[in-house]
Amino acid sequence: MDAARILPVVGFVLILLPVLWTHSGGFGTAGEAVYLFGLWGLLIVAAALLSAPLRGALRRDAQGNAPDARPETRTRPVDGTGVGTGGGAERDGP
Amino acid sequence: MTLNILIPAALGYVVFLFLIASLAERRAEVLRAAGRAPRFLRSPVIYTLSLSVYCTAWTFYGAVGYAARSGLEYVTIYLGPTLVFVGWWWLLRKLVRIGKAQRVTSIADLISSRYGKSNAVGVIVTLLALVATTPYIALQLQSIALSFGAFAADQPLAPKQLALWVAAGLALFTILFGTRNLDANEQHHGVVTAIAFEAVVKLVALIAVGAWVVWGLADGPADIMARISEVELPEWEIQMGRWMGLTFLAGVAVVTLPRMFQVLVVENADETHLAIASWAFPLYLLAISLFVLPIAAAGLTFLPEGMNPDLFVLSLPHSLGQPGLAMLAFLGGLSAATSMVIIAAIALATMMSNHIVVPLWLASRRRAAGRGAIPSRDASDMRGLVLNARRLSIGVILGLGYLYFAVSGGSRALAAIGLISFAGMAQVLPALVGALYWRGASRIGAALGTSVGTLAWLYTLFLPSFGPDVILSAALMNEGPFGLSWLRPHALFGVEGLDPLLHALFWSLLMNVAAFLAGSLVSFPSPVERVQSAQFVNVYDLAASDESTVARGWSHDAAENEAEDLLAMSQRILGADVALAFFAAAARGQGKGGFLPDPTPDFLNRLERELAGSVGAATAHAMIAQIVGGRLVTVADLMAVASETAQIMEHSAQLEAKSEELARTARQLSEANEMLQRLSVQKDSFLSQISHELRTPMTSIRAFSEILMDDEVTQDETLRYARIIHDESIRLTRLLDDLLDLSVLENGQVNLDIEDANLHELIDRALMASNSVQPQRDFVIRRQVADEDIALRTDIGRLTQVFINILSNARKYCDSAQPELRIVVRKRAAQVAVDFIDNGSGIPKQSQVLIFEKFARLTDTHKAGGAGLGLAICREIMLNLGGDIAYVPGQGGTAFRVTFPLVLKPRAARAAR
Repeated sequence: MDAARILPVVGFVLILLPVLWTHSGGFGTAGEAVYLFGLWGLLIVAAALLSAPLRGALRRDAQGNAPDARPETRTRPVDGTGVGTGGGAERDGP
Repeated sequence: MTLNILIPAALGYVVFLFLIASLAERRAEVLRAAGRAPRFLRSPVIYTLSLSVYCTAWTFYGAVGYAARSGLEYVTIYLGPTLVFVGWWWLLRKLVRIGKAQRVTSIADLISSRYGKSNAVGVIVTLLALVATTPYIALQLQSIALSFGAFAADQPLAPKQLALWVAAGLALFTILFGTRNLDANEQHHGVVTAIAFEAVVKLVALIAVGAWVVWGLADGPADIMARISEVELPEWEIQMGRWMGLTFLAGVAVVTLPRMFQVLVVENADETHLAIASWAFPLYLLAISLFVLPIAAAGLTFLPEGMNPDLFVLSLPHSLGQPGLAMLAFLGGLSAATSMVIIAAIALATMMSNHIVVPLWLASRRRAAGRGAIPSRDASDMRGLVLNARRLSIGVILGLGYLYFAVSGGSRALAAIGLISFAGMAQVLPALVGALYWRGASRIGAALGTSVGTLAWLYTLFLPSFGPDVILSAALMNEGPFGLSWLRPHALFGVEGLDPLLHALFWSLLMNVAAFLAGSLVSFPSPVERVQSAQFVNVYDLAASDESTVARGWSHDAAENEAEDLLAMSQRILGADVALAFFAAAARGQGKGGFLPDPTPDFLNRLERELAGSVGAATAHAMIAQIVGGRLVTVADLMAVASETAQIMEHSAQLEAKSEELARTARQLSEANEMLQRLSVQKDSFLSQISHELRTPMTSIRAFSEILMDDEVTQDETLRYARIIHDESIRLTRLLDDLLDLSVLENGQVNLDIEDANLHELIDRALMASNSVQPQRDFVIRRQVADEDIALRTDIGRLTQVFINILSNARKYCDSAQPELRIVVRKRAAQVAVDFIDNGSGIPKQSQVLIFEKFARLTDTHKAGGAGLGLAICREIMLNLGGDIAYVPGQGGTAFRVTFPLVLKPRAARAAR
């Protein structure tokens, strides 16, 4: 989770790098583009790698707290299963 | 290629979109009817694709123009959102969680809900969003007009007229699909699916053009890199300030833009989708911006000078002999523009109706009720009003967009227009961040900060964007108002030489934050605000403990009789079916039967949230407060908020959960006990009633037969007495028949005579038969004949008997001067529900449970003229028919609902149930 928090900060710093290069002569727009898109790709890969464990954490939380109705089943007609209505829908768990 | 091909292609594309949207909608409805979630329609893929509504015509056309003018700067617009999504664990996760927990309908709703459900704050944000979105919509109209122009360079074409048609068409589409129904969750399956499809179209189109440029026009990536270096201009050099500022601005915009908030938070079906979108959406952004620079370089190389770089995507394939590709690019651009306009208009229309139109309407109704012009318990359905308000708002929004386009001349760079919108919506940021992370942020601070920031933005960026002498005079722009040079729009307080956008962003956000902080520090938050701030800032901690221990808006039970008023009000917003289902479920949750739960604080909170999903938090809160009064928050509640020791909370949560469970069990037990006692009393009174009922006719029969035995009776008298005896014995027989009938029904030994019939004819027959009761009264019957056409297979005779009984009762007891009876038929799966609703004064709550008992009569026996067995028999019949009969409260009169299966199953199957 901490890695997920740090990632955007690292990304922001690295995105600023081309600005500094420009001041020292730089690699030209084409070079900067290659760098930026490469960095972008790395950020995406990192986020994808992190997303699986984070999704697990989200789901565990959700199960721990609200075992009842998901929002989709909320407006079902009166048939007994709707008892969870409202009671659980707004509380998907942390 | 000419307009003759282009216009049909565009129209055909829109019709196709329409089909996709309506198919998705229908599919969702079918699944919902079957009680299943529309899995595919609500999948992470669709969610991610719908987020791409961020990429509008600005991306599709404008980014290339932007790159041709300023080099790599365009990527900041996509890098900002990438950072925000990659860092979703920080902000987006919390935003979506709160959005779901509070049933938020829009960004204005979120902010107003957090700041004490204050509608004033909601109005400020709504107006800001409306103004800030206007240039953005103008941008889309301009791009569509330009793209038509690029194809038809030789044909005379009035861009303004074209834009007007486009605006009207888009308004129509949005109205047709965005405002068809009022979903309790404010989710639009059809539209979102269509948007997801458009996301694919625009991506494919841009990549196709890009691939053709790189591998068709140029000789692969290396060659295109060389060409980029060749055409590089001095202006392409990255500027520190703009680079950082734009990255920041784009990151803010991806959250605060009304349409982004709509797809990101409101339409989100599952929080875990965010985890996938956290990398998939940046990937989409990467893919869509990958070929922008190559296309720009190719445009600068291969096209003659003086072409509008915003149209390179289109003019490259068009002028270099690739009509098919040009058509694809045209449709891609159309996709990008339409998807933005549709979602933005829906999001804004929701805000306008929830924060402006409905509150105004409610206030006017309250005034009218105060004058006595309308009844204070008003049963009219509000959903029509809300929908119409939204339709009107959509028209207004697109009209404003068109107006901006027409006034600003429609010739500026697309990206520059879009950035004005970004900077405008960024004014929500301080209030939003404060809402999520700072308990001390207050309503005054939020209102002040947002208004000050908005004014600064209007003055330094929005109004000057029309150009000198359109709204702000050239003199004012050059020398400042009244010659005060330190107030010049582009050089506020003497800050000169800064890029106008950065200048505006800097000053507006600085003033915004300063006013927000100052306002929050000076003012003291109201109790509701403090409760809400805990629910927002500590959303994770609170969710971990039991909800019932944490702060809530309603801390006292409302009076018993207010439940019916609440039901009546909810029906106006949610619709009768949903509201009744919600109330019945809540009543069951409390261990009660029927439709009316105890109005406990817990129930009030849930109801408010349910309503907030439709009309926004502020309105929902105000409407409930109107009924239960201003009993809001107690000191104890505030203490609960203040003490944040997790242990105590958890402990008390468990205790409360247990005590609630005990209370529920106790209530069930006492209800059962009461029932038993009532039954015992009933049995006694049944015996005495029956003896009494039997005795009265017997007595008169005996008395008159004794007289007859006397010799001194005339012929006339004999006849008269014999008739009385005859009548009384008929009454006696009827009573015994009824009793016999009842006992047969109660034992389930009745033989049902199952046949086929049509419900419409059945009701006709019942109406005809019941006309003989009090024929002098003229009843107005309201029916929906179309709904009644339902084929039934059940015991028709018995069912008619029930209908006749209810109708006769209505004729007897409805106390209105102009009696009126509504018959509403609904078919739900294999069940039919028939409601009989009159406009009388209804049945008081304490009698509602009694009316189905034997010999229960609310009025005097002789007036009623029956033994009081009618409804008891009706209920037994309905149970035998596998259905039920119930009294439905809150309908503005006496209302009975008869439910039964379409096809009556054989007895064995019923017994097994």
